[in-house]
Amino acid sequence: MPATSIGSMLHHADLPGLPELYSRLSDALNDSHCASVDSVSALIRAEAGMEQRLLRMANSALFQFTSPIKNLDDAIAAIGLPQMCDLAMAVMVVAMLEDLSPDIVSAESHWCHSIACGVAARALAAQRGEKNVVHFFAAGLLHDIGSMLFYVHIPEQSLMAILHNRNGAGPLHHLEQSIVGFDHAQLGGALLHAWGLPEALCEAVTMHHTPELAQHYPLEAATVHLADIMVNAMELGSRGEYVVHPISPVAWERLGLSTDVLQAVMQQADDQFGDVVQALYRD
Amino acid sequence: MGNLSSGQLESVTIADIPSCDSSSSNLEATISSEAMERAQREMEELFRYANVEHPAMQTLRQLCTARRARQLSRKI
Repeated sequence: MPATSIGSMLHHADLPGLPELYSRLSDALNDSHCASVDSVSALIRAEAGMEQRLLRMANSALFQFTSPIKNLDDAIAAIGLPQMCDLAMAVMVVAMLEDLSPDIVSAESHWCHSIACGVAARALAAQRGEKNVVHFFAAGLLHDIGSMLFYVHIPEQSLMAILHNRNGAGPLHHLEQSIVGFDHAQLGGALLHAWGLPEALCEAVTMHHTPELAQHYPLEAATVHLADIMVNAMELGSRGEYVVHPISPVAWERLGLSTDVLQAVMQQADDQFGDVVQALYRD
Repeated sequence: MGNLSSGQLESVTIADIPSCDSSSSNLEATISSEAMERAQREMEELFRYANVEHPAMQTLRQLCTARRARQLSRKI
C-alpha cells in the first residue's frame, strides 16, 4: 500500500471508529446533571463485553483494592467517574485492535510492551501525585498504537526499518522517518485525533520520542517518554526494537522526580505487569 | 555498576549493589559473578544508544543490570 502521508495511511487502513460508548461516556461526564454512577454504569453495560473487561481491570493488580470488586457500580465508585471513562476508552481500543496480527513482529510482545508502558506511566504519575493516574495508564497503553498500523499496513517498509535498526543504523523511529516519511508516534497521535480522543492523549502519543517539543501537555508526554524508556530497559515486551532510547533531559526536568523513585516504579511494573496483561489482553 | 567490575568478585549480594535494596530478593541473595558479567554485557548492548551519562539513565542501567543478574542467577 503506498503511504505517502499520514492522512493517506489512515484512509487506506480503513479502521473502524471508536464505539459510540466513548462519546456517550464523555458527554455524560461533561454534563453535571447526567454524570452519576448509575448513568455511567448503564452506558457501559449496554456495550457487549465491556463490563466484564472493566471488572477484570478493576480487580487487577493495577488498582490493588483490598477486597474484590463484584459489580460495575462498585468499580465506578472505587475508581472514579473520569478515571473509569479513561479506562473504558483504553479497554475499547485494545478490544478493537488486539486481533491485528502483523507478520513481522509478535503482536503479543507488542501489546505486552504497550501494557507495561501503561503500568509504568501510571506508577510515575502516582509518584508525582497526579490525581487521575488512569489517564496516564491510557496514554502509556496507546503510545505505540501507530507502530501496529505500520506493521500491518506497510510491512515491507516497516521490516526494512527494523532490519536497519538491528544492524545498528539508529533508533527505529528515526529509520521510520527516513524510510516512510513519518514515524509511528506521529501516526498514532493522528489516529487518536481522528477518533476524537482527548488532546492530552494525542500529544503524549505524538511526542513520546520528542517530549521536549510538547507544548500543551508536557507532563503527559514526558511521563510516557520515561515509561517507554524504562520498560524497554526492563525488556517487558517489545515493539520490535531492542534498545533503550536516550532520555530527554528537558522531559526529566519537567517531571521533577528524583532518581530514587525509579526503583519503586520498576518494582510496581514488575509486580503489576503480568496481572494487567491477563486482565486486559484477549478474553 | 560502580565498584562491580567484571571478574572482580566471586559473587555479590544484593546488598552489595549500590542503589538496589533487598526488598524483593532476600530469598535469592546471591548473584554469581557469571550472571553479573552477562547482565552487564546485555545492558551495555541494550543501552548502546542511551545517554548513560544522565543521572536517571545511570540509575536505570544500574537497577536493570542488578535485576537482570538476579533473573540470570535463577537460571544458571
